[in-house]
Amino acid sequence: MEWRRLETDEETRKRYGEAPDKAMHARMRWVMWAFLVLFGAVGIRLGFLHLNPRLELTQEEKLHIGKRVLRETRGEIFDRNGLFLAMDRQVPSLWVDPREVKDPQGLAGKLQAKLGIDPKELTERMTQRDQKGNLQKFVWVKRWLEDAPESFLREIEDFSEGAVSVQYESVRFYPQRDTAAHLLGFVNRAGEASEGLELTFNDYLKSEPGNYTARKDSGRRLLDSLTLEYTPPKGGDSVQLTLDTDIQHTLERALDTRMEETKALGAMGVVMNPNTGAVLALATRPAFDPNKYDDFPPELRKNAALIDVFEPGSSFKIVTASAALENGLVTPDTMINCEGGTFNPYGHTVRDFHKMGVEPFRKCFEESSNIAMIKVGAMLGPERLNDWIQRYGFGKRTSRDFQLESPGIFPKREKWSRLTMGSLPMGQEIAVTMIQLGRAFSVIANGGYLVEPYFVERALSRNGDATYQHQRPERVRILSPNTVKTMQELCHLVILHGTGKDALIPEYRAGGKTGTAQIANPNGGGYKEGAFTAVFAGFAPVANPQLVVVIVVKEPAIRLHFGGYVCGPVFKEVMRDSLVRLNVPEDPVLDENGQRIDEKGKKKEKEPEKIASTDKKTKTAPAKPVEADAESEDVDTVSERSVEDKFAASLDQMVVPLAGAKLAAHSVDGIDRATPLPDFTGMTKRQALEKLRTLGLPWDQHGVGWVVSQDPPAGTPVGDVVLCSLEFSNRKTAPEAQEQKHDEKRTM
Amino acid sequence: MAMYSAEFNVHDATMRVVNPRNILRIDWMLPIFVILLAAAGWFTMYSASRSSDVSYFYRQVAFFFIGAAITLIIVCIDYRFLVSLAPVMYAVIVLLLVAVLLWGTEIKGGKRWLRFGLFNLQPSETSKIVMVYALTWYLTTVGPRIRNLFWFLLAFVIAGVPMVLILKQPNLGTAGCLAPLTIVMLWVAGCKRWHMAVIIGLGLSVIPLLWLQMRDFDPEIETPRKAAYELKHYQKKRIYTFLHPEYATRKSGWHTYQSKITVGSGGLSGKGYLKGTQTRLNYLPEHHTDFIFSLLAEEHGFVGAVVVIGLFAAFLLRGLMYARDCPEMMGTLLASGIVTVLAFHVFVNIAITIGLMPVTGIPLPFLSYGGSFYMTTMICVGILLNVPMRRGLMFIN
Repeated sequence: MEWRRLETDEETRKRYGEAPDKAMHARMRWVMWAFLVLFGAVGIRLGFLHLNPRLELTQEEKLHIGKRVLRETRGEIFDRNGLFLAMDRQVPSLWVDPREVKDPQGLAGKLQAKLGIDPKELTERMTQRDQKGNLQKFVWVKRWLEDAPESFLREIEDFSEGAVSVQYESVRFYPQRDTAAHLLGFVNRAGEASEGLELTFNDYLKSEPGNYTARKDSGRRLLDSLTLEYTPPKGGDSVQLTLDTDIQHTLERALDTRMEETKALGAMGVVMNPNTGAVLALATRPAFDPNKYDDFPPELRKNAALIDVFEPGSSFKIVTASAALENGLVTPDTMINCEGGTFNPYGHTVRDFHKMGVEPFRKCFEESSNIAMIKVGAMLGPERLNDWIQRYGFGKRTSRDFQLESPGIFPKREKWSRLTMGSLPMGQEIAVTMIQLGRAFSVIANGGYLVEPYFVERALSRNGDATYQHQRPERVRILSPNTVKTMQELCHLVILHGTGKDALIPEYRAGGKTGTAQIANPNGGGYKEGAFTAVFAGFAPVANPQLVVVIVVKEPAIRLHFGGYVCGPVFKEVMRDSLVRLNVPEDPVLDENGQRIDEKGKKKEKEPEKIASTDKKTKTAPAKPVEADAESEDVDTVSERSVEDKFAASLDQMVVPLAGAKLAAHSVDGIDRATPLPDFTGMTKRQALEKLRTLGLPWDQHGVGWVVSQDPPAGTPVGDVVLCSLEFSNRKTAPEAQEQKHDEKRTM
Repeated sequence: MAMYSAEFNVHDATMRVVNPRNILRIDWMLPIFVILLAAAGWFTMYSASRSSDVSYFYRQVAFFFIGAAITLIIVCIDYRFLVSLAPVMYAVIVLLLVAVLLWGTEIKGGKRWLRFGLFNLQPSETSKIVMVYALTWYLTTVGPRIRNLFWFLLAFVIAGVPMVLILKQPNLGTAGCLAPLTIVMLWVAGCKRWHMAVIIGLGLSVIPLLWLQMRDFDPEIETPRKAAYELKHYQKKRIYTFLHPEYATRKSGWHTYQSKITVGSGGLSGKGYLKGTQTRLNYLPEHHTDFIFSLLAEEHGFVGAVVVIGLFAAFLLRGLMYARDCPEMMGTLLASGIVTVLAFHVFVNIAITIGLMPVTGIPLPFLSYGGSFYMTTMICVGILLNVPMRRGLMFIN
């Protein structure tokens, strides 16, 4: 094959009139330029698409970005043990798409049969049209069918042929129903927190919906892997209360029972820890069920325990008494003339229920003498009284945890009237809330500190981080330990012998104060006739107070409307159950023999044995078993004593309280038989008995008070003592001894 | 090389049909562009295939190496030999195109494939290269007579036969490829300028004709065709959606609309490699084949797109330089024809992705997935590389 050039240079020149290369190059340049123009056009177009902000193609792409709202339920509320008190639950509601309905009336009729709704009204709503004449897309049929079973809902869906659908909505649910309902408050159906802790801690409990934006694929699905923005839902923290639901139940049940028995209008109670201020139970009766809050009038939903104020009456006397004690104006033994029960220092007559003559202060306190308190108040003077009432925190809100708490009514010093000093010391002309009273008793229970009552321990985020932790404010000491001790024993005496006998708990020594106050006439001016508030406030165990309980019964409709009678049993039940529940060691009430006073029946059973044991004791040598016997058999050999005797003995027991309360028997093995018997003269019964126990000696005792004589005499070697017989009395030598003792204490 | 200059090789009148030594003499410039473009293709394909099937990526890489082997084989074969076979190729391809119309397999509304049991053949694809050879053969044979109107028009007849057959399939894209090919080659061969001007004028007159057809077109109503020259409904619809991008973004305009969003959302520097969202989320269909450029533009932005277009331009201009520098007309024609075919694909494909043209199935060389088109591309590269081998050779009677 032979190849040749297409044309010679000559030929090319003929064709183009120029050199072949040049002509061809010119043509190629055209082609190249054409290419460059085309590519340039593409480049410009690209730049136009990429860089022209006006096209907003990036914005258009945003149509492919989807957003999903992430809802979190409202936070739960649970008690100190983790029991849920409030939580969200999904409740079905029925709605209808009117566009799907062929026969609105027929459907409405069927729905009426099933749900009991008004068919006319529903038909009206279903056939309602907007301006354009379109039917609505969504009409509620019935909301919040809490108890409707699944099958029931399906049935309705079925017979409506798909027009009616179920939608689940979050609704607040209180599984414990009326338990602590007043404290919790409630969340209404619109999801707004109303009242109570639900409102106060709404910022923690409520949840703000979060959202996440992510790209959608062409199937309109959001792709988690292409999340652009993620805002987690905020809040929804759960809140842990200080409440103990068991104690709350006990309190509520006890209040309900007592309310029924006394036909009272209402009742309330609080159980709190005096040392921390933690409220373990807070109840207001009558109850309401927050799940059906609509069924109850607003007055019933009010947390009366924190909002209602009442005159504290005699229970307020702890303030006057402790102030006077702290200022050294009185001692428990200061004699006060109670004027035989009627007294008129400031222009209105004050009467005592227990009419008394000249009695020691402790007796006046025990019997709740108004006259004595007015006199003590006068000793204090208005300035100091005012100061002390304020120190106890009256007239101020107690807690940060409850928004609507009332500060009580305590008139300013300059507004005091001529009569005030005749009323205030015994708890009139002042109105307090129950929680204020509880706090005042906490001061006495916890050794003299003013605490802040609180209900919420902490709030926990969904991750378990504490977002809120109750911070106890620095405790302010307002009473000296000595005064506290004295007040504790005075309060204990109230329960032991005084107006609070109905509250005596055998297992736990308790201190308390009764109060029976008249109710101020709501129309103003004077007091409501025959209407009283019965109050009992107290703490236990005296050895180491763990709980303060305040019980208030409003307007008991029985003749015995006194605080001690009406509230005492409730106090007793609640306090005892709560202490047992909290595993607080027993601090039993002992009689003067150091013997537990349990049920009276038991006591009587033991009496015959006692004689036998007294026979035995002379014969048997001192030995360990005898000692054990001695304790169980050495029962009260003395017949019923006067109140004074009992009081004196108990008072002294209180002055030197023994932790643990039960006296443990000590071994006698290590004791030298030659040890001389000590002189018991002037010792209290407890001191003497303790001494005898350490020496391992059985004893015989007579009388009440301080040791006046002993047999065998002091100095006898212990080994020779078979039985130590002690004679007690507070008649002959008591006054001096007493005076002495108190002087000693003072100087200490 | 100096020893191949005209002065030293006048005696070398015989041709070695296959000369493996050609491989050693390959111009290094063009292969660099090819490798860069192929690499860009792999990267983009990897990104594209991640959302569907990574094997596309591996196969794309394999296609390149198979194609490179074919390129080397083509480089070794003297293009003059192949041009001399052009009439035979032409006859075969016309027969195959007729066979496709008779027995072809229909895919996506077009009869394009011939099934041969073991492999499938798409004659329209092959016809592009065959037409380059056929026109090269014709124009070299005709020589200066091309300035004569008869020979000039005969070129259109030669190109027109396969073109009509391909249009019949119908395959507008490939048929459309043959028109610029013929025009460019006739121009390079040195036709009369006014001949060319008239032809181009006639071609442009199609636009008012189209306008007449499109005037009352409603994409929702499919009316029967009244005349043979009338476009089919789907073709009209494509043109309609090209002219009215706002129409039916979810129907036939979906491709253009989404492709524009995809490209535009890339911005200046793109969303980052493997971070393209439009394509990964399947908003843009065919993003590993015809619309792969959108993905590239989305992920690498204006910068990336311009770099790739620049590479294509450099590659094609280098090809045109081979054509220009070839001492004989045959090489010039062959190279410029090949470059035109490739440039058509590059330009039309990109123009479609950026909404400059209605959608037709035109792949992008080196980037789009597809074995047979990759092979076609690599064969083109081989032919181009073979052209400068003849540099300086003179054949004299």
